[in-house]
Amino acid sequence: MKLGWIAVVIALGLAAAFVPASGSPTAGEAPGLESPPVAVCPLIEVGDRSTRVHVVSLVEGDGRMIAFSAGSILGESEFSIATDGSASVAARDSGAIASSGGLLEFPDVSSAAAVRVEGETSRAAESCVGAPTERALLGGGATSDVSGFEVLLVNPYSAEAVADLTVVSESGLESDSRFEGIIVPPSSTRTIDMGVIVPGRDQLSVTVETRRGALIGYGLIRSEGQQALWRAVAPAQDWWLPVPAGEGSKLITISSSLAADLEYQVDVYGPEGFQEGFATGILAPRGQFQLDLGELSGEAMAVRVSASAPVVTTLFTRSNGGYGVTPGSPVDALTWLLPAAGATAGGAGQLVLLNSGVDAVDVEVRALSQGASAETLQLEAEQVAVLPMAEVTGYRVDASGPLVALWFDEVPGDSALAIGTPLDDG
Amino acid sequence: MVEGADIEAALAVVARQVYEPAPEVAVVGEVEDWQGNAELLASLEEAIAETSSDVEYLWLLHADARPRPDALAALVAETERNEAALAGSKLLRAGTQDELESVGGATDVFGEPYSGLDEGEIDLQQYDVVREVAFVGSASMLVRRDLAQGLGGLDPLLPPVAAGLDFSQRARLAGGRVITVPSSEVYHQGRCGERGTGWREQAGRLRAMLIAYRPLTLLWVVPYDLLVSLLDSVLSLLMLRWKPLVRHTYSWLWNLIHLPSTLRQRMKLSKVRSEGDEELFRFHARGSLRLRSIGEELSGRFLGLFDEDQALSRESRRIWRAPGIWGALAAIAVVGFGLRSVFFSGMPSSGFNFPWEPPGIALSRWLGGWNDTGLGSSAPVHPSVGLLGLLSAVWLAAEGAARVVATFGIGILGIIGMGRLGGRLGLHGPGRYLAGLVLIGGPGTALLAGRGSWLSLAAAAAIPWLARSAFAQMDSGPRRWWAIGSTLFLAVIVGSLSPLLVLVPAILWIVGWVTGSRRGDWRLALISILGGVTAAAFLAADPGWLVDEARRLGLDIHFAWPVIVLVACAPLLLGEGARRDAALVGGVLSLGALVASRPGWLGPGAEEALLVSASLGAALVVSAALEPATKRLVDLAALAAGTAAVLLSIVSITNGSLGLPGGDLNEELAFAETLAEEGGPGRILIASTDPSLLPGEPSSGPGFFFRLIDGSGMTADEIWLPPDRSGDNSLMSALTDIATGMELRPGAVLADYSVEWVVLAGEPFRLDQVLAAQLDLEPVPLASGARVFQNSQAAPLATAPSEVWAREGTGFTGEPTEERVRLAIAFDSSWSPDSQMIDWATTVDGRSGSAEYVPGGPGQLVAIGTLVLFGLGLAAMVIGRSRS
Repeated sequence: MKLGWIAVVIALGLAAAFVPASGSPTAGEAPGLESPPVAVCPLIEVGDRSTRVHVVSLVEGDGRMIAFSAGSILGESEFSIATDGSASVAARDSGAIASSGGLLEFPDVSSAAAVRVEGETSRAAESCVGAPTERALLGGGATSDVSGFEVLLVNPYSAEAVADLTVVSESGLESDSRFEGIIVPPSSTRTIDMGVIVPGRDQLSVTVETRRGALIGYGLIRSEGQQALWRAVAPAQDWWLPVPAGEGSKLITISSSLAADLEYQVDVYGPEGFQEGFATGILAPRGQFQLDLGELSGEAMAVRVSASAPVVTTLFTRSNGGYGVTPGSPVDALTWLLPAAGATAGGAGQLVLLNSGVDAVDVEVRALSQGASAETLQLEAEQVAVLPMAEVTGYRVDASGPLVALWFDEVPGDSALAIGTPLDDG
Repeated sequence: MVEGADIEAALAVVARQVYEPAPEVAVVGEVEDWQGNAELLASLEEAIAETSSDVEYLWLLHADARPRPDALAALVAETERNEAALAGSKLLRAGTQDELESVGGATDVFGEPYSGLDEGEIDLQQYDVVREVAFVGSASMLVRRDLAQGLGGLDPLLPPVAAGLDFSQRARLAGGRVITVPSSEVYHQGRCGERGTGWREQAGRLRAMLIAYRPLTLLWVVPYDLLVSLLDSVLSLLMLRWKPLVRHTYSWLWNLIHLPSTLRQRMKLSKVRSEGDEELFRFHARGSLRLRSIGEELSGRFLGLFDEDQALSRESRRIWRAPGIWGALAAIAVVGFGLRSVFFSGMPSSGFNFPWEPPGIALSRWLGGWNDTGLGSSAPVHPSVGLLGLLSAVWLAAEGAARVVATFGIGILGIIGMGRLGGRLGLHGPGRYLAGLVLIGGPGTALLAGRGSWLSLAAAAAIPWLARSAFAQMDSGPRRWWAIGSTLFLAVIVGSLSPLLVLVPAILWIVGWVTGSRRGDWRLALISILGGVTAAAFLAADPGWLVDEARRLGLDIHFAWPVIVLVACAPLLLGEGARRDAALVGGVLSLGALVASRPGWLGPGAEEALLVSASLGAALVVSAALEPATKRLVDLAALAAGTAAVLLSIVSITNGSLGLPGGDLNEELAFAETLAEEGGPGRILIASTDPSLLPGEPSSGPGFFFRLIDGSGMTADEIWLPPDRSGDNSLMSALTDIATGMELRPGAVLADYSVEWVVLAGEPFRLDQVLAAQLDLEPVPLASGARVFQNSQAAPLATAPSEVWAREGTGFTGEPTEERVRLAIAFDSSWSPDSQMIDWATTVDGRSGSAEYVPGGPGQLVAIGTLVLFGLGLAAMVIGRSRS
């Protein structure tokens, strides 16, 4: 009996030591992150330049735009998405002054906005950003032959944001204390003039890393009545980028914010068909690679960039029509919204569509204006198509297969260029 | 030879011995111009070595000793009759009226001599029995010649008492019996200084110990002796005596210097050794005689202030001789040290340990009032709320002081309770009190305390008192009422602190019955279950507290604990008696509770009870393991494991707040009250991925844990969450929306719940991410280590379109208004006047200027029932006590 109880105690002891412990209870499952139906835009009201915000949406409804600057709400404008699916708001109607920011609240997540900054001769356009990312990269910058390259840090939120900039030029990693710990107060926009800090650089990539809070970065270059505006985007391994037809330089820049070598491959969708591995190589840590497609052809083309680690791909166009910069798209999609897309009176606007898939797709292109009819076409696999744009303020493109869409508007003296906003992954 | 002694006179008294044949006499030592007939030898070693083999006994006699004529004959006769190897005479102080100096004696384990004689005690033949003793004085000892030659005589480096002790020990280890022969009377002049004081004697005792004990014994005796030396030095310094410190220092240094010679002596002894250390332990007094003497003196001095006739002092001396007293004092000292931060800075407020509400409010909540936890509920509060309210009331609502005193009281009650429980099981040593440290800092309680569960500590302190009922007999007569009353009284207290623990006496009784161990009257064990009545309403309203595994604390006991308990317990099961019973019952309880707690299939209430039970069981095992016993290897293994358990527990509870986590969350969040506007502070939503960073029971949220607490500070009644109601579900839904990042204005969403502050603690998580990109929660740098957001849109807790009301007790008051007043609390129809539901919240008619919750329901009935039980228990105790 004595031994029996010893055995019981030993068994209990071993069980107490070796029965797996349940561990701490876990919290409920975190829901997936979703982007709120908002977008953040830079609003520029400087000199003769003025900003107009264009909204397109798949649903009708009301929205509003809040303009803010230096910690204050400058004003608020309401807008309604009409039956044609578009609306526009002038920044000055919301009280925007100088370089300020605008926060747009949409009636639904299936909406997108873009700004057109227009001066007497200058044109710039870019899509507004829905959700901030902790790390975003602005490729394609330069301070050598433009009169100004500014990085705009826009913080529409209630919390102060602190960011570090990692600036890389052809000379290497730029070092300046002004790139560290940049504070952007709530409801404020901060402008960093790169031309002052790192003048004379031909290639500049700027990584915006948000240490605290959240903000959205934009790049703005200006030169003698010409301007270009583009947004910082999160690095990704795959990029698609349609390239408009026309003469001049069409510089594709692949920028890395990674402190390590990485491999890249550029495939070209050109007039001669799909050229896989058109350019391959190894990108040095925080390095850049540039490829001028303008030297290949004046026709519309597209590129697909694949890398072994996240990079950012940017298109920089330069012609007699001025500058245009836009990042590529890391996804292809069945539906694209192209707010602000449209030809300017006296200009030439083109919609560039890439069928990124391996099958032909049916495409429906709809100009968002009252009475405009939809245009349908079929795109062969890996085909790039160019459509002329009407004088409207937005387009919607639906396809039966994966597609990438970009718009380009050129007037004498300047041009505007922006990639569309995908709504559904292809 | 003894310096200054008259050798001629000494030889003369030896010559007068009536023993036949006349002894051969030799003088050992240095004598100038020796003219006597006796042979003069340089050393005792030489004398022993030169003794011829036809000599049977050697009589070692100091030159300052004057034996009666029959002293030698008595020694020889009794030595032969008792088959002893070493015999000592009764020593009387020369020049006195038969004042006793030594009749042999005991020692403690450190060799500290204990004669048992009072100062100046006269010889009235009261000790005139031949008996075995630990040692005899070296002034007059008879030793078998062969043994003396085998042992090499007295150690020449040792002073007289230590030499006698050393020689006696070696003689015993060589298989000889050591006896005292009172019929052999020797007057001792004491010129040799045989009083056992002075650093040389102390050093000698240490050397005797180092020579005699086996390595395994030395492994614990030496550190223990060092500790006792330190305590003796410090306590003596407190009494303005510096000599003990010097003596101890010299003693240890001397032994360090003479270590090589000590090792040689050990080698010499090992050749003749035939007995183990347990042969020595048979004659040892328990504990430390030195510390006992200091304790007597300290209490004597203190009691002497009020005790002119010394009656109390005499009683205190008796107490100090009680075997457990030093264990209890040491354990209480550890608890006192473990609470040092609390004494200086007050009680921490974190985890599950928060201030008590004012007595009136606490008692009103307990009596079926509104449960203010989270968004509020009509579910009964934890049964401890009433007890804490009562404690606070007793302390005149000085809540801070009451908590400090109660926490120290927990420590003392736990230790004494464990000692009393051990005593009821038949254990006597100091270990049963030291086991109280395992009860408080043992496997389960240390974990619970680490999470801040003050109530668990309190329950642990109370449970041994209740558990005694499992081993108590229900006598007939008036004492029966005392047993019933005290069981009921304790059961209500334990049931209030940790309801399931009322089952412990019944479980112990069943374990005792199954294992055939000691057990008491089953009816008392059943009566203890009645204590569960106090928690009946609480458990009925929220059974998930016991069975919902998703709410478990998830505390993982360290692998070492079951192993230690097993190693301490298993060897004792080979034995018999009280130690075996305590070890078996404790082992089964502790290990069984540990096994049951590991899979995590129960709620926090059951988990808490299991973990406290695990500590109680472990403490029982340790009580048994530390009980003085034979020093067989199995006992030593149990002793070592028991000691390890005590040490581990000490480590757990000496963080300054008895193992409770430090910090004051209410102080950290005091900004809510400081910055409060009309209507008082709103609520604070505190969230983290680490539930241990949140106050009280955490709610499981979408990817994180959270708690909604009162902006005026968390209180003990808010620790446990009531069952979810519609408001909680609505809040959860709102938080899920916010966690997706879809909500651009989370402040507006949280405003309805009166969430004025959002605090994110610990590592950054999803809410940090989404709150970085929103518009209406303003980050404010008000707390270190946490991210704080202010919600300026938060609705006051009680508001009408044109009026804001403020909290008043458990209700709200304000200017009377024709409008309805919205209370941001979960709807309950017992709110008055005219409560109506809007969404999940409550609105009341504002014309009366106040909103009150009308208590009632099962909570109130149970509270009254508890009071009745408590009163019955008290009454039965009074009856039992007065009639007996």
